[in-house]
Amino acid sequence: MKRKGVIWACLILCIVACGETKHAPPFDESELKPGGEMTSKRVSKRTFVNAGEGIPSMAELNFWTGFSLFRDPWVTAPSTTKDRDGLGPLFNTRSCISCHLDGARGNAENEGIVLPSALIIRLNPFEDRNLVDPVYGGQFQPRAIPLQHASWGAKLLGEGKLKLSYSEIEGAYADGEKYSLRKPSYELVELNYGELHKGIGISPRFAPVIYGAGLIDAIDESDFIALEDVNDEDNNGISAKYNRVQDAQTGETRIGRFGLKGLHSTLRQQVAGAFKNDIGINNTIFPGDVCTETQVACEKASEFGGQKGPEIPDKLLDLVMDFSRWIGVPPARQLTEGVAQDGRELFFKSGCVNCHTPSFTTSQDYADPYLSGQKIYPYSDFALHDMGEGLADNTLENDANGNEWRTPPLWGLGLQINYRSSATFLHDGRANTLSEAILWHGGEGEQSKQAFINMNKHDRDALVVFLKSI
Amino acid sequence: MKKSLLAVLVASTFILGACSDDGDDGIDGINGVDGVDGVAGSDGTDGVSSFVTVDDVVATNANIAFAMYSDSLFTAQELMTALETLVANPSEATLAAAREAWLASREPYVQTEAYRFRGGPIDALLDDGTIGEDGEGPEGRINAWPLGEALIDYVAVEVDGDSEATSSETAVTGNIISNTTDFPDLSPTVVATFNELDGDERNVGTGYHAIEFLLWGQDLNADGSGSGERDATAGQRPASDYFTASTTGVNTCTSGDVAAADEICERRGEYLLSVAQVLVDDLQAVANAWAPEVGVHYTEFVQGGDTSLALILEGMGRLSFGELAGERINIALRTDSQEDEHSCFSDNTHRDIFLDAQSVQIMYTGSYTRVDGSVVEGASINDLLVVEGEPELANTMRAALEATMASATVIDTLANTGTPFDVLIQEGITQPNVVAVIVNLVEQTDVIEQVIDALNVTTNDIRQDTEENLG
Repeated sequence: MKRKGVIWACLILCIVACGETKHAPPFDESELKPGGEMTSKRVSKRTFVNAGEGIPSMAELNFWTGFSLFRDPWVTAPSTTKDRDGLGPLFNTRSCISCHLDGARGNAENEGIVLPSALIIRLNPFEDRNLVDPVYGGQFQPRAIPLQHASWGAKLLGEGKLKLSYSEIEGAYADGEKYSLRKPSYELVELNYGELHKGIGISPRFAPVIYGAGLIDAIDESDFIALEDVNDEDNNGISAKYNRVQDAQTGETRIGRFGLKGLHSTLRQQVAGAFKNDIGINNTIFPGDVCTETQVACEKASEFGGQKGPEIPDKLLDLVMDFSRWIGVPPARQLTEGVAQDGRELFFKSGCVNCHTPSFTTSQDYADPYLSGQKIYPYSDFALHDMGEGLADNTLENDANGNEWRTPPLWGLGLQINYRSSATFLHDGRANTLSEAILWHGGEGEQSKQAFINMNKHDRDALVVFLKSI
Repeated sequence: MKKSLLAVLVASTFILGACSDDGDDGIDGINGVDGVDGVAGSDGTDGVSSFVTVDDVVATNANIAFAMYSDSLFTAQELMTALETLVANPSEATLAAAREAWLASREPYVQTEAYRFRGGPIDALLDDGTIGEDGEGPEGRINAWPLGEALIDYVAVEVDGDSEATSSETAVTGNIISNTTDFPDLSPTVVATFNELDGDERNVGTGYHAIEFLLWGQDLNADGSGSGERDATAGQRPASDYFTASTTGVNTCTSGDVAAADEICERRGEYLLSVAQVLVDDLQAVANAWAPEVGVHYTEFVQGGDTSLALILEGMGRLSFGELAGERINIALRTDSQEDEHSCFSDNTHRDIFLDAQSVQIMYTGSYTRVDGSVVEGASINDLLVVEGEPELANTMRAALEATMASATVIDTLANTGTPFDVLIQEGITQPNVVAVIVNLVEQTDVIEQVIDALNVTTNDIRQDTEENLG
């Protein structure tokens, strides 16, 4: 049963490779509930934060309890609320929700010199994949807790600021309609700990949506391996490659399915990594503080916080995990209407499905019974693909090179637009509309982008309607 | 001046409330659970009306919102007066009076919490008086938790035996009150921005809990130590933390158990008054948004029909389940946490629990008893269910809410007889009275879901109006 989605995906790939017309398969009722039993009962008017339908009441209580830990800010230690302190000493933000607003993406950063929160900057090597910046570590943390002490030697300072600016790239569709793309440029400024190591580059990452993450965690690794096609042996111009990463707890080499370049193999590790690097809350998976040896005041502040044991103990992390696994995927909206169905056909025909794999069935063996054996429609293969120069960050992250990004899931896209006054798409949030996001595709996505550019307006609109309905 | 205007507007809400007619025949009672036949319903005379509409229920809900936020405003103004007295004339007596005023101000405010989680003014009112997006409202500035008190004022070197520092001399500095370099100005306008200190949202430096901390101090044991088992006392901040040379004649200012510069006590008083002023201003703005006929949210809400009814029920459900059963009680149950309580400085968490439960009940019964003892009431969801042919469900809902209130009363009573919530949850969380509140809240939420379905108010939520957003 669980192989079905994969076989279907393979069939599609084969059809594409043979160069025949790639029709969409007949519409299936299950597409209306993209998360299977983990689809939300209702479409909320303003938030993704709802438990999946299949979660019983008493379990849902843990979901909401976990949500409070996702929502409430972490505070500076020491405090009376000991289970809620340990922020920093260096950090990007104080709470999960500040970057995953309503379970979606955060607020876009303004142009200029900013202290970003939802947009984090990973510090990755250009060439030597084992190189870590000796002063700044693997992530740029612009904020610091404001405490100080004479014995620390130096005032505790955030690492610096980000200079963000945009320029416009003009272009036109085949039918002559013009478009404009917003090209960002990034520079770290007002650095408080000197220059970055010369072998280190910056990789901007805008916080992704979090709903459906449990279902992604529940996909069997073998389903990914079946899709892998590193050398493009099927000759379709698409080479699905999975990042191989080390499981932080077991040391095993596994496929990285979480993170914008597939850095983490499990949802728990992804969440624990965000606690440590983004908020400065250590845990049993990632112990220790966020300071490097040269950041002395940071290390002293960490000692003064006086936390024995992890700042988020497993008993609380477990609750956050209940929340993270059980947040429901919104049901499809108006997907059965004619124009959306036209768009669906175009989505298949244009080869979008080569990377945006429509469906999987989650593993029957997954430990969480609410998530196992679900037919889901994430529209992603969760593999790395060369997306071209335009989107490249030119840095390495394990097996991922500077041009490669992990295919993001597309479910719920339309609601992301509804919930935010300004929508943000792609890895750094540069695209304001779905059309712009498509137009940024290059590399392995170039062919599909060209297909989009060559569509007439009716078809382009229909494709976007489809994307907004899934 | 503003006060009297509010009073007039509130008085007008009573008229809007009454919607009954002569009443039709009551419905036959169902069989009793013990096998005894239920009594046949008698003719309706002055009972539940048959012509209650959704609009009536929504109007009642809006009128109660205005009354509740007005009460919150009045009691916050009284708190402000008590704080001014404390700062002008600091003594154990004026400190005790200020604490009483804080506790009194929490009573109406916590009852408003069912107006959260529904995109109303508390969650979405912008500083310019318009309604923005969820999360942009003043709620965080008014009531955010946890506080992170180390950023505001001195803290103990040891809390619950968990610290590396060993004496006051080694404790960290940099808190707002002691840091005159980075925070020279503690006026209300500046203090209002502390909630977003360092350009980041949610750095809690304002609101009820900041005032609570400045009145009680950290909740250590009676002997002032932060080690050993947590005892039943609340925070022990001494009145001398507010002693200044100008009020006492000599410099006797303290920061807890150590002497401090005169300036520190002055700044502490200044900070306290500024936080209170911000609170009053925010509550004023929220009350204004709910003012009948003129409030920016009131006018939109009372015309919202089923959409507004859905919001009432959504707020009830979210407060019952996620907020109250989940994060305020279940977290203690799940984690054996010793200090995961909201009003952690004053040990007033039992009132937070009780009043939140009551808030949900008020949304259903459409009846709120004001601080002055008068009652604002009108058409209720209970009435609407009966009119819609769902008397049994109405009764089930009423009973579920009453069961929750009964179990919440136990927690309230325990606290009043020497076992505050933080001590209660240390005694082993499996005790039946705590579990009962959670179970009752979960059951109550299930019934709220049934009410949502019975009143058929989900349609608007499911059908997203995507047409206008395409492109």
